[in-house]
Amino acid sequence: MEIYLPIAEISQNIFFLLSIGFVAGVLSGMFGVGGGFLTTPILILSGVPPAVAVGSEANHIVGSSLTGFLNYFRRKNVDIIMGAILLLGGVIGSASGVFLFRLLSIQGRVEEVISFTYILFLGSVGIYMLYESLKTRKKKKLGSLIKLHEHSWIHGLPFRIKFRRSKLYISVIPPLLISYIIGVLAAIMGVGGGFILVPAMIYLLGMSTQVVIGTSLMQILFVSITSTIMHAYINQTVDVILSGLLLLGGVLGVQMGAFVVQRVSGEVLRMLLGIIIVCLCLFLISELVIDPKYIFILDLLQ
Amino acid sequence: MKLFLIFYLVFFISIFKANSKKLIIADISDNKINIDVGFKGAKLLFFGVIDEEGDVVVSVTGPRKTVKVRKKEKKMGLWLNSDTKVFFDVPYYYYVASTRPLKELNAENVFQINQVGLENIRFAGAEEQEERSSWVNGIIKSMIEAGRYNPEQGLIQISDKRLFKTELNFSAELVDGQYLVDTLLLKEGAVIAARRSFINVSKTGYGEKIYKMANDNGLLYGLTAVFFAFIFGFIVHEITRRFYA
Repeated sequence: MEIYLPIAEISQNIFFLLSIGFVAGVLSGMFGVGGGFLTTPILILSGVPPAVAVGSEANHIVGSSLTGFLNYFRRKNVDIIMGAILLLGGVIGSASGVFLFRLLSIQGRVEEVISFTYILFLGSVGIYMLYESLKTRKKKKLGSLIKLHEHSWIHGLPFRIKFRRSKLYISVIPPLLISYIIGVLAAIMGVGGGFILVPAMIYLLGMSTQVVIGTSLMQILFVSITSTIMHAYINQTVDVILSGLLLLGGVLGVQMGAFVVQRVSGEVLRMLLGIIIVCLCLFLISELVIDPKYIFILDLLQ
Repeated sequence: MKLFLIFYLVFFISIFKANSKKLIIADISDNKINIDVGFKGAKLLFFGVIDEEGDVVVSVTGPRKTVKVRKKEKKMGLWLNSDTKVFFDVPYYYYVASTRPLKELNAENVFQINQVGLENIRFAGAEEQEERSSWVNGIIKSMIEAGRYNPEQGLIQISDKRLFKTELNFSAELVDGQYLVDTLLLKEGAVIAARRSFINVSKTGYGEKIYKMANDNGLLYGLTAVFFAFIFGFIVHEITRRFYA
C-alpha cells in the first residue's frame, strides 16, 4: 500500500516505513539512542531527499524518545541533574560545532575530515565496548568482584555534585566537557550523538547502563525538539506524514526494547551496542572503498 | 471510454474541416493531475488528428528546478566528494514518444533545437563541453533511476493516417507544477506543424494543506509537528503502562 509524502514529494510503501520505525523503536528502547544513525541512511537509499530524511527523522525521534524517557523515568532510571548538565554542554557544543563547520567548509575539504573522524570514533568506541563487555562477562562467570568505574583525578576536580540516581559524587567538569565535545561532533556530523554519548557516560563517567539509557533519552528528547523546529523553520524539510508513520511503527518497538532491557544484564546490552556500532563503522568504510553506483549525486535546491 | 473517444474525434474532425489551416490538433484526456495522500501515479491519454501525413513526436517536460550536484572521485583508494556544481532549469520529468524511433526520422537538428530526446535536454550551468558530457549524463542517469525520466521512447499509434494516440504514464515520483506537452509534426526531417499543451500537477487534500503550512509558516509547522509527536509519545506510554500494570 502506497502513501504520498507531501514534503518528500514521493510515494512510499506504508509497511516499509512502519517496519523502519519498528527497528528504530527497538534500538531506542534498548540503548537510549535515537536510531537516526540507522534510519536516516535507509530513508535516503529508498529515495527520500536527504534533507527531508534528516528533518523528519528528528521529528520522529521526539516522539519515540519521549515514550522511552517516560518509561525509564517511571522506573526511576533517569538522572535529571546529570541530564540537565549534559544538555547544557551539548547545546553549547552544537552551537560551536555549527560555527566550526562553517569555518571548515570555507577552507574546503571538510567532508574528508568529518568522515575520517567519524569512522575513527565509531571504530574505537565499538571495539572498546566489545572488549570490555566480554571481559566483564568472563569475570562474572569466574565470580570475581567487578568495579566498572574507577575514580581518577578527573572526577575529583572542583565543583563536585551529588548525582543521586547515578550514585556518583563527582565534579561537573567531566560531564560538561564530554557533552560539549559530543555536541561539537554531532553538529558537524549531522547526527544526534546518542550512540557516542551512551558509551561516554558508561565508561568515562562510570554510570550504570540502565540509568545511562534513561538519561541519554532525556538529552536526545531535547536535542530533537530543537532540531525539528530548526529544520522546519529554516529548511522546511519536516514531513509529518513520514515521521508519523515511523512513530506508529515504533510503538511496539520501543516497548519491546524496554522489555528486553529489563531481562538482560548490562554487559550484554553493551556488547550488543558495541556490535551495532562496529557494523555501522564497517558500513561507512565500505562506502568509502567500494565503487559507488553513482558518481554524481543530486540535491534539489528550492 | 472508447465511445467517448470516438465521439471526441468526430467532434475534432468537424472543427478540423472548418479550420483547415491547423495541421495538427491534439488534446489530453485530463489537463490536471491531483496528488493526494494515496497518489500512485497517473495515466493520461494523449490523442489528436493530423491533416498531412508525417511523423508525430510528443515530448513531455516537467517543471524546471535548480539542482546541486556532487561528484565523487577516487583519491588514494577512497571515494570522496571532489566537486559540486549548481545546474539551473533541470526538468523534473521527461518523456518522449513518436510514431517511429527518433533516429529514423533524420531530424537531429530539429530535435536539438526543440530539446527532444534525453540527450538533447539543455541545463543552464552546463555550457562547457566537458560538463555537457560527464555532469549532465550523471544527472540524466540519476533522474532515470529515480523514475523521473523515461529512458525508453514511447510509441504513438496512428490509425487511418490521421488519428494518433499515445498513453502518458506518470510515476508516483511527481513534483507539482506545469508540465509542457509539445507535439511536432515532421515531414522529411522538417517541422511542418507544432502544438503545445499543458498539464497542471498540483497537490490536493491533506498533502496540499501540509505542504502549504510547512512553506508559509515554518515555525508554527515545526511547533505543531513537535506537539503531535509529544502527544503521540505520551499516549503510547500511557497505553503500555496500563497494559503492563
